[in-house]
Amino acid sequence: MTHPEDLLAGYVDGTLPQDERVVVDAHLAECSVCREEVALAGRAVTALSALPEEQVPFGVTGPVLAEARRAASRRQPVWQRTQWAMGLAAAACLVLVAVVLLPQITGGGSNDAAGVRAPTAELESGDDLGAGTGTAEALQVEVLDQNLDERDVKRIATAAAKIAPVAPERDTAATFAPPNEAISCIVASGATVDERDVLVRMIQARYLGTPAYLGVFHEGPGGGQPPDKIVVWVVSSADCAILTLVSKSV
Amino acid sequence: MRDAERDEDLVRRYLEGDVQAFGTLVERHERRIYNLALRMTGREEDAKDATQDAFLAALRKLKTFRGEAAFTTWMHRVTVNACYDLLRKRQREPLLHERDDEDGPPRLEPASPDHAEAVELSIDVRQALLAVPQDFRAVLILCDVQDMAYEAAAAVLEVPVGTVKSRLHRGRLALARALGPADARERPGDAGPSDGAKTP
Repeated sequence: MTHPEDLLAGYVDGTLPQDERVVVDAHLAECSVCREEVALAGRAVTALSALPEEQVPFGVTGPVLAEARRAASRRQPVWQRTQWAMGLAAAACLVLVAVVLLPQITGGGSNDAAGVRAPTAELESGDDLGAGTGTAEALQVEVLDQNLDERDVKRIATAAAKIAPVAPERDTAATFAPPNEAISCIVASGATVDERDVLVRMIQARYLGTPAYLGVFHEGPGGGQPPDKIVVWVVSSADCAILTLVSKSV
Repeated sequence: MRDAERDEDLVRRYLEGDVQAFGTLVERHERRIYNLALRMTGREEDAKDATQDAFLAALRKLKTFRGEAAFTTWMHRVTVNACYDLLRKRQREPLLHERDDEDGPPRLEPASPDHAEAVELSIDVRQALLAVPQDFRAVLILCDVQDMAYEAAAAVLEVPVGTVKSRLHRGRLALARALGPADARERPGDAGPSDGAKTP
């Protein structure tokens, strides 16, 4: 007996034209093998249709977009790239730093004696941009002579998540440096940082051997709500390329 | 207005230097691409890697995208290939019934009730999907999970439509068998011609 195998897929999912459906029906009336296959295939279709569509986890496409930016900048005419080298783009980054990040850092970044910072103020509107009353030294880069790996970054994120909305403690073994260059690099990397992100810690170390900055952010829904996620961006300090990122729910 | 812009126009704009255009493309397609990768690889970590690999590969190849095929078709093709590459690299433990040949699972002979009763394994659909040969799994995901038409799936996989139909049927059988006795216990002979057919 010849089985109409090419028609069975369409028969099961209902896309088969009526004339071919009649052919299959006639065959099925006499063929137990194909009847069984049709029944099994129908159950497979039902099972697959019940599979839920999953959300894309945070951070999957960030490095892709960063690469897109880099690729686009490589395609820019030489004079534009020269301008970048001369600092125009860097200046733009500094504007971003000044407008977006520094007010957050200075707004609530007062340190207590134990070195634990209160949660930094969240940026709500343009009116708040200049609301920072602290000093730029409120958040400094912790310089660590350490080579970190992904597990270390996850540990940093987990530690920050445990005590959020309180900002994480600094590493006691660190020396400190001004934050501006590190912040510029995070911004230039293409990390998806916006007004809902509050920078609470910055680390300079090596990541898998590459000199890197680690920016630890509180991320939340905005509107004065506490953070619900910790995001750690790791970028190369040499070219500001995103090396990895880790997110951890609070 | 940008949301209504055609994918092909976004590609052109990105190649002209508009980085945001690529961001829009990613935003528009990431969910389907991630879910395709998730069902192909079966693990979130692998799906994240495959999704990134696919978009990065697409980024590198954008200049070669001529627009003859729809961007979504092209992007799905890149993703399936990224999944194949990743699965090859992972060199996982051989999966149940893993086969790469065109024959697929053998056609069923009338089932032995004893055999059906003896199989007590119960695994969920996601795991069962991993027991389906990769080529068939890809067709199952495209057609039965993502509701892609045979012709579109054929274009993604660069195979004839007839091959899609054949792989789809055999893939369904492999999946149903991998799902185990809950399905097998039902009497196959009870299934009339219209059983299992979706409403067109």
